[in-house]
Formats: sequence, C-alpha cells, structure tokens
Amino acid sequence: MRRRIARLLLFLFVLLSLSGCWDARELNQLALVMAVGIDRDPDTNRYIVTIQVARPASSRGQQSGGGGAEPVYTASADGDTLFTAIRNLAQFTSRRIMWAHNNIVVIGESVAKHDITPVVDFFTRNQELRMRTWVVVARDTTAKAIITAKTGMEDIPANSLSAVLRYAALPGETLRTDMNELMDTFLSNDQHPVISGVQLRPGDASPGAGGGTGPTPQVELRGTAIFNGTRLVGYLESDQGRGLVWLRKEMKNAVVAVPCPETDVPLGITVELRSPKIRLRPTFEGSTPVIQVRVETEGWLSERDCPFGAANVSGVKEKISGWVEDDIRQSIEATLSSLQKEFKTDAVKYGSYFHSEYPDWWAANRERWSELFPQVKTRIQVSVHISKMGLFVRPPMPTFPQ
Amino acid sequence: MPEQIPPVLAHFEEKIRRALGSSLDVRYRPFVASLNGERRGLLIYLDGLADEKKVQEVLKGVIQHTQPPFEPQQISPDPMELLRKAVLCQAEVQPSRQFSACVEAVMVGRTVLALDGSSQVLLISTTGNPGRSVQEPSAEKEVQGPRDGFVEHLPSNLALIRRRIRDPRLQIQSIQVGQRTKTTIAIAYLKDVAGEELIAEVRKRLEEIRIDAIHGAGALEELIRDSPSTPFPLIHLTERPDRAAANILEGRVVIATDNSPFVMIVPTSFWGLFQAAGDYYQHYLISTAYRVLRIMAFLVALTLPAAYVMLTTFHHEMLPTPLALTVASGREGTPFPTVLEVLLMEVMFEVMHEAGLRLPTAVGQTVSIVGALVIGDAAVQAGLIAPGTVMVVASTGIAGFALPSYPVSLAVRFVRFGMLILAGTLGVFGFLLGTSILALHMTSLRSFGVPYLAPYAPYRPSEQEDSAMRAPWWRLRARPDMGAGGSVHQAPDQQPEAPGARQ
Repeated sequence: MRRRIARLLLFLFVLLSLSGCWDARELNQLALVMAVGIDRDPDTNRYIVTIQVARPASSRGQQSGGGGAEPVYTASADGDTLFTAIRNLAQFTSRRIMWAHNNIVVIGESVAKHDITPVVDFFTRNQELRMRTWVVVARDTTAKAIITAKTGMEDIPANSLSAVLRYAALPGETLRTDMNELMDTFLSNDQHPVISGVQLRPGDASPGAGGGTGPTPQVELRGTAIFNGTRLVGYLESDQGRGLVWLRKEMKNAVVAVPCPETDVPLGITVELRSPKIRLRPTFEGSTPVIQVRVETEGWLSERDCPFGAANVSGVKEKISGWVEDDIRQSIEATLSSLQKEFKTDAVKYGSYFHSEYPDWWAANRERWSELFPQVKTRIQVSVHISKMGLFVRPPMPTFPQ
Repeated sequence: MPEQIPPVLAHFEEKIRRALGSSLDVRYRPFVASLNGERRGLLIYLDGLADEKKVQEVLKGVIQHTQPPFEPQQISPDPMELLRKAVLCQAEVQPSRQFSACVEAVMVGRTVLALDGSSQVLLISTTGNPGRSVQEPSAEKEVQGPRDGFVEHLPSNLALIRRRIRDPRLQIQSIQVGQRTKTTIAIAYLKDVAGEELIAEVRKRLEEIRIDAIHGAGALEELIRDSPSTPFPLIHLTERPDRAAANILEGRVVIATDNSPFVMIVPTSFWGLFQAAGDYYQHYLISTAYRVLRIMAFLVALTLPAAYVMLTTFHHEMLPTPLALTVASGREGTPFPTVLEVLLMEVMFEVMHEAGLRLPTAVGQTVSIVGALVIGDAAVQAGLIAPGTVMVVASTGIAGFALPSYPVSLAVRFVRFGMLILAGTLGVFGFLLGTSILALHMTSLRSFGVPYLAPYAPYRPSEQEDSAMRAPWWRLRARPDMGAGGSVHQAPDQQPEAPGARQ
C-alpha cells in the first residue's frame, strides 16, 4: 500500500515537471488588444494592421506612474498577410499580444472594397478571439484613423466605440454586427452580410483624457455597409438604414416625428415605438416571389409641440397612427428600392425565407437568386396603435394672458 | 487471586508506602479511635486531589466519635461495619479487601481508612474539585444562548448535560482509558433513541485502546476516528453543553473525557460543522441565510486564491475586460509571478495567525498592527505585491475565520495550499483536478459508519430540513437517520397561529 502511494506520488510529480507552467503568462506581460483595424495598401497589396492596446499602468488604479501618460498605446505594422502583419507588430511591441479582450474589429474601406475573406478567416480561425467582437467598416477613411482617434468620455477609445454600438438599438438607424453574425451571413448561401459603418465626425468634443489641444474628431456610427458576397457595394444612409433594421427584425425601439394634426406645424409630434413585432412571409403571385411584411407596434406619444383639443383624442390618435404607419412604410420601401435597384444585393435575408419555406423552389432557383431578388415584390402592412399620451392631456403652455 | 490487605496495620502501612513511593503529595495520618475499644488506625490520601475539609470531617467523625444512644455491639461487632454504618457521615463509603483498589482509590483523591487488626479498608469519597468553575465557553461564543461551558471536571460536565435532559433514559457509562493516566471517559446517550450498533461501536473503539496516556479529547479523537489520514475533523468537539444535549436528543452519542473541556459528538456530519448553536435560537430564515453564508465562506476560503492565480496567469480571457485591466494595472511592475506572490502572502498570513494565537493580548496587538502594515500596506506601497493579491489573501483569511468549527477552518487552510499549487501550475485543469480529488475524498469519508457528507451525499430528502437550511422548529419532526431509525420527536401541528386565523 505504502509503495503504491509512493509510486503514485512520484508519477504525479513527473507529470507536474512535464507540464510545467508552459501556458502561464502574467497579466502584466500581456498587451491586451482593445481594438484592431485592418487596412490594405492597394499599391503594394500589403495589409496594414493597427492595434489599440490598453496601458494598464495609466488606464486604471494609482496614478503613481507617469501622470499624463496615454491610457492606450496604438501601433501599426504591415505584412503580406494579416498574420505576418501581426507578427511584425511583435517586433516592436514589448508585450505578447493577447486578443481575448478585443472589442472591435474595424475593417478599412480599402479592405472592404477589395475582399473581406482574410478578415473573416483570421478572426474566426484563431481560438483566442471572441466571436462576440463587434465589426465595423471605416467609411471614407482608414481603419487606422478610427483606431487612433481619441475620445472624450472614456479612457480607452475602444470602450467608447463598443458602448456606442451597444446602444445602437436606441436610434434604430444602423445594424450592428458581431463576428459571429458576420461569419454566419458570410458563409450562408441565402443572404449577404451587412456591417455598420463608422466615420470620423469633425471635432466638437473637448480634448480627451489623453490630453491634446482643441476639439478632437469623434468616431460616430453612420450608415450601414452593404456587402455583395465578399465585397462592399455601398452604404445605406440613415433613413434607408431604418428600413433595413425593420426588415431584419432588429428594431427594438424607434422614434418617428409626424406633423401636428390640427395645425400645419411640420413634425411637431414625436412618437416612440415600443416593442414592435415584425413578420415576413414568403409567397408567390403567379411565378413572382413575394414577401408579405407585417409590422405591428405600439406607439407612445413622447413629445408634442402643438395644441390639440382634448375633445377629439381618438380622432387625433387615428391621424397620428396613420402618419406613423406611412413613415414606417416609406422607410421600408426606400430601403428596398436602393437594395433592389441600386445594389442588387439581398441584404434583408429574403433568400433565407424562401430557402426555409420552399426548399425545392430554392434548390432550383438558388443560382438565379441574385437576378430574381430585384424583382421580388414586397407587400407591406403596418398597424400602429397609439397607446399612451404621456402624463399630459394638454400641452404644457403658459396660460397667463399675454 | 488479587492481593489481600494484611490485617496488621504496620504491615499494611509498609506495603502501601512501597506501592505509592515517597511522593510529596501522599499524606499518612495515624489516629486512635474508640470503636468497641481502643483502635489504632491510618488515613491515606493525596494532598490537593482530596479536599482537605472533607478529610478533616472524616477525622473529626472518627476521633470525636462518642457513644451513640444505642448499643454499638447491636449494630455490628466488626468495627469497620460500625464505622461505615454509624460513624462516618460521607455519602460514599466503600469497603474493600483488595490492596490494588486502595492504591487506585488514593490516586483519584479518595481517602483510605485502615484499622489495625482488620483485613478490610474503607474507601471514602473525599475528592475535591481543584478546577475552575463553569464559565462561558471561549471557543464557541453565542450572542443569544446559554453562557455555561464545559470545564475540565468530568462530573460537572455530566451534570451540565443531565440538567438539560431530565430523563432516566439518559444513560451515562464510563470506561477507563490509559494505563497510567487512568482517564475516565463517559459515554452519554438516550437508551431508546441512539442506535444499539452505534453504542456498541463506540464502546468497542474505546475499549480497544491500549495506551499509556490520554491527554485530552483531541488525542482520544485521533485514536477512534474512522480515517486517520484526512485533514477534516471526523468527530465534532464542542464546548457547549446545550449543543451536546441537543445532539444526544437527536440520537447521537456524546463522549466526555475527564480533564478536557471539550466533549466529542459522534457520528459527525460535515454540514453539521457549519451549524452554530445560535442557529437554533435565532429565527429560521436568518439561521438559514447564515448557514448558506458559511458554506460560501468555506468555498471562498478553499478556492479563492487558487481561482485568482488561475484566472490571472492562465485564463485571462475569463476575466471581464474592466477587471482584467484593473488587475493588470495593479500588477504593473511587481517582481514576482502571481503564484509566488499569493503563496508568500498566504504563508505570511499563516505565520501571523500562528504568532498571534498564543501571545498575551498586549503583545498580540503589536503583531496585528505590524502584520496589517506589512501585509496590507507596505508590501503594496513598496511595489512588491499587487493590491489584488492582498485583497484575495485578506478575504480568504477572513472567510476562513467565518467558519464556526475551528478544525474545519484549519483543514480548509491546509487544503487551500494544495489547491493553490495545483491551480498555479496546471491552470483550470489543476483547479478542477484539485476539486475533484477533494470531492472524491470527502464522499469516501465516514464518521462512525455514517457518510460524512450526508444528508447530501447520499441524498436523504427527509433530513434536508436541518442541514444547510433550518426549517422552523415545528417542521423539524424527524430525527436524522443514524441507524436507530428516524423516530419522530414532536407532535404534528405545532405551528403557531394567530387566534381566529383558522375558520
């Protein structure tokens, strides 16, 4: 018995010495990448990778180190492939680059217009990277410019951008895409990827935590990038973007402004749409594929800048809801018209509905889908129910005789 | 044939002087008494162990004995009989003809009375109580509970239990253990509640002990526990009579050792060690909350340093980003790897605990102040240790002290180092390896045949009411199953109701 225990202990010790601590890495020997940007130099065909790394010494905790040091460190390097570029970064980065905490991948327009395959491949192949990383496209600028831009609110700019994306549902004008969804749509045969765009907004923010003088440009969400397969074909602007959000069933909350019902003040009333429900149903009219869209939503009156009598509330409600319905219908139609006529790209997953509802038809027509999509008819039915008028019955206006 | 007592007093005295040696504390007190004529006699007792006042009373009775109103010859012609029946006022007076019994009697503080010309002696109970009086238990304090605690004197301890269970079915049996110390061990149980097999097993284990000396309850525990090598306490030691009595009422057996203020309760459940006596005096919701809290403290004390090292050196991706940054900023510029850092601080903590444990209060304060400065502040200020490490070590230490059972707290602190080294070398694999080994080990443990992790492993639905939770008193109807069968110990429908609540 004692011999057996001794042998077991010996065995365990040998096991320990074999494994050692090969995987052990101290946190302060790591460069925690917060955001990464990928650009492509069209002349040399080389990739330029820019990383934003948190500098823990100055981003948190005691300020005993160098007081005004920048909270992040940005560096970029180029290489023939993404991976060689990242390896080249290591040549002048003192710490081992660690991707697990990466928040955002910024795809430069140069890469997006050429081919996003290497980006999708690299960021999904590596086990250290998270699939919940946000993906954005840098519009009219390089990814490097987005990555190096400072921000006013947060110490680490990447955190600011990821928070902006997290709350993107509030304005409801752009879609947000994470790496998981990008891979999903990229690999599927019945839909095309969409990625939200970011832009530098010429500065009206105060200098950021990193110091500097004068207003600094801020990164803002603007538009949605539409891809046809592997390539960027164009952007949907905000109003069309809203239609896209509706059609992809991502709308959580939207705000619509409508005119006053009894006077002619344009856009005096704001309605907030709560918990909307969207249904899309594929059918055929003859041989033409048709999608029936049904939107049902509740509306809360959240702002009113014009008077209307308390007597005719139900009539007013009807008028308002009619306008809101029109507004939603128009934004959906605007989106569809640019997708079908301009980009000829199925960014609204129409293909996937036919795929799952009519698999045989889909199998026969899959190859022709990009030709068929522009001809798909959409029948839109919207119903809005104004359920709350807020706390006021009459608009708050001074009653003191003028 | 045991050795007889020689009838001639001089011979007896010589013989007993040889047996007892010339110890300082043995007293020989010759006297002359008038018992059916003049009789020379001798008292032998141990100074200190025998109460001097009681010995004086014996002497007074014997020497100042005057003629009673009846004829002494009618009682008995034997002067020894006469002494026992008509002269001595002590409650316990025992005649003996064996020499070895005399020696033993002297050793426990009785007085031996020998008379010339008699081959009998009287063993008179004069044992005094040299110990302290009943005090508040220092190791298991309770805010709202009885303040009496066990002391070193066995009869007092048994009386404390008996006072709580005034039932003739409460049996107290005694066994002597230790060839030289002759320590009295008492076994207390309820005859109709405790399992026969359990009682037999306790007796068997105690009787099988062949040892010179028993130094206390802790030493006895090591001789009768089920698995000698586990660091976990398999027998519950308590200082509180209310606790011992409650356990007897549940069908357990209490083993009390002379000269030890701790009594043993068998069998012991691991979860029982998370219960404090106060749980039964507080509201049941609060008691349940605190029991859960203690189990959480146990888990923290066991795994927090290991988890910290594992997360910060192997699995950075498991930390949320802001936390990773905070930890990383604290680690900026610290010279040692995290494992070593935590190990050093844990060892320092244990050293401080050990240093503070036995020091007089005045010096103890110095230790705590210096310790707080060294561990808490200076190490971080000097950049030697990351602030996160200090937090982890400190919370682990506090969590360890939140456990109501000191032996469990010691065991946890012992096992913690193993977990730390495993997690620090193998990461999450080592951490899970450690927890699995621990879980397997603990499920294999038995306490007097009862599974240590019961009623959770094996799961006994009927005993859940008083385990990690405590149901209200009127719900605690069944006794735990320890072989005797779960008998019911209260009437149903004890739940109080406001008058008029039931229609």
